[in-house]
Amino acid sequence: MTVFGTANTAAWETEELFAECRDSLVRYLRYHLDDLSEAEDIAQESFIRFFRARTQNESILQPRAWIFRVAHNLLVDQGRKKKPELLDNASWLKIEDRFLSKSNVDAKVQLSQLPWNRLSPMEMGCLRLRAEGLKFREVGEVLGLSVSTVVSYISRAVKKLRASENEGRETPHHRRTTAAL
Amino acid sequence: MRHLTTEELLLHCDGALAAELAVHMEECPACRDSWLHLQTVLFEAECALRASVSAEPDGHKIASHRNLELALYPPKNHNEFPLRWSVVYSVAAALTLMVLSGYLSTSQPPAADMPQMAAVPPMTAVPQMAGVPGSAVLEAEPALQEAVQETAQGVQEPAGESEIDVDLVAGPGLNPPQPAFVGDPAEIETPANEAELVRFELAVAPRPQAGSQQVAWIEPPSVSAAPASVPAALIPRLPLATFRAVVEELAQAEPARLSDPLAFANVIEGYWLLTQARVWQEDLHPVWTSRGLLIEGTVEDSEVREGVRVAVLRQSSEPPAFQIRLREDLPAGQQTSRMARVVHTVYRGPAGGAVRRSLLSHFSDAARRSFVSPQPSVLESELGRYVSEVYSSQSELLSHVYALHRFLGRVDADQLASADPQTTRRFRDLVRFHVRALDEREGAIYDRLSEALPRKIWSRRGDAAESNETLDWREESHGLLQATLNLDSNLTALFGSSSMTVDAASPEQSCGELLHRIRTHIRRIKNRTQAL
Repeated sequence: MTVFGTANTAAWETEELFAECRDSLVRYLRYHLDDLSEAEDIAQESFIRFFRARTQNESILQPRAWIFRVAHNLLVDQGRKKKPELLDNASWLKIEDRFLSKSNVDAKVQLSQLPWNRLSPMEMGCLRLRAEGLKFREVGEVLGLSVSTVVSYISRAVKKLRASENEGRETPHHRRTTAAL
Repeated sequence: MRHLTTEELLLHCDGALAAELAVHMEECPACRDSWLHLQTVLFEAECALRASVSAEPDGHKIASHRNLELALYPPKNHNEFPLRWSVVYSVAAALTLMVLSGYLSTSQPPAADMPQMAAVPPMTAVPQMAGVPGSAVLEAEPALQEAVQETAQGVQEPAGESEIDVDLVAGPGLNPPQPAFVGDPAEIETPANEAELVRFELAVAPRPQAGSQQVAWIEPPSVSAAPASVPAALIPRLPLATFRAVVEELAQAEPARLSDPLAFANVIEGYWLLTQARVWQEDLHPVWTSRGLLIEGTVEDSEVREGVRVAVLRQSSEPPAFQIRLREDLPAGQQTSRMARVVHTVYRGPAGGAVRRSLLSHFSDAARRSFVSPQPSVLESELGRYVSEVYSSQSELLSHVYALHRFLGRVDADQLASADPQTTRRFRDLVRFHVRALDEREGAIYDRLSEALPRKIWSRRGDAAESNETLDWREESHGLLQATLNLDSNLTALFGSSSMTVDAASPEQSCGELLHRIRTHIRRIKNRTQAL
């Protein structure tokens, strides 16, 4: 046999991981990068690193968190080279402007109603990873935070979003649910 | 008791809330309302974030996957000359040269050690040898004898050994013999009583007469097709009566163990080959014969058969033989229209079954929480998607369990303990491949059941007796297969149009208990594999 077992197992695992979280990984990278091809390159490099790590029998307990963390680090490295504005409100405003120029009316309304400017960079970072389907534990793995810290960030973000929601539309239903909290 | 904080409500989203708080969550309507509202806000924010990124162009993901495949599976260059063969060829060429030049021949010393050879006249064959009919005696010319004797005079020899007599006898069929002694007489050790002939004969086995040699080939093994009902068991959505019969038949159809070490190693290699070629779901199994590895079994049609052949040959350096038959060619008694490859089966029956009302209620609540009108058509499609996901996971779970059972059922613990490292590694990788998939599919089924169904269906009461851990691979895989088949039967009854009544309180029929058993067997197999 010319193919070694470890390499083939690693290839299978990489393909499984690719099928599972490639879309969300590219989307997460595109939060920060304007260029689709750059996001694609970083995602590709992340999957190849995963393949190499598994080929060398490196133990990876949470593959999804691992791949997001590697992609995040690559993103930060690239950001240091290019010195872009990463994970701050200015970049988010840029993204929001880009989004608002689209013709998707419903989504535009949804996004414009939410007060993204009030969120801190870390709250936005946690929320973005959460939006890609990562659990709190995995979000903590990616950003190097504990679970309780992640939960705190997202909790604060939710409170801010909810507060603005209540400001915008005060209905009996919302007053009741807010009072219940 | 106090109400839950936002952090605790968030933890409940991931199922990481402490047990006592989870109980409070179920009992307290205020906390439930808070949780629903929190989920709504979070869901809205996540949707907005996801929608903020524009969609990728069509075909971009496919191109990306192709690039990754090129990195993972670099194309092999079949014309490339392997480096290791150059060493082998060099050594072989050197040996050939040495043999041809006579360097390795013990009967002919190097030319530098025999200065007298230049003056030695050629030998002549004398067709006369007493006692050896037909043999030719080579005697040195008188000049040679004199030269030898002159050289020998300078050497101190025992009395009566003043004359060295070296005669060469060629046996029948031999090449012209080489002189055994022509060098320095001092190096010759001739016994005192051996003054006669030194015979050179080759120990050649007598050539057998034509037609007397026995043929070493064996007849190819007969292809025993799988029982008609066994592959049908791999399709979970069968009528229950058929299914029960299949369970019993499958439980009795135990594969024979491999007791021969060579067969064991090669059959493991065969399973590895099938898995590498990604045809492990087919009804194929490797057999070791005296002619090499044989892949036998049945497939659906000739297209699949050709695909299997190509995929396996692409992965193997030593091509195996194939004995793959089409199912339509089987005898009439073994034919069945239900035989098919174990893939995602498309569910076509009415979705929901006994738990239809519960599922519809769940999806209706979910729609209201998302401020969407619960249209009947939307709820029906949501219900169909839910049931299809459960069945899809269950089909994959069953196919992996069946493949694992066929594989582990042939493993002999003693053979595995004494197997070479490569075979052990292959075995471990194969088990890991299936166990990893089983872990995921079992988790997916549990997640889907616990998401929408009443607790009594998917939770485990814990009063059922644990089965004892055995040291036998076959026992573990058999237990795993039984639990999976029972789970499949239960899911068919719950979601399908079966008339079977599922008693959730019975350990044998509770999905929670069966899922727990499956987890237990997976854990045991995983532990044993890690200990190898």
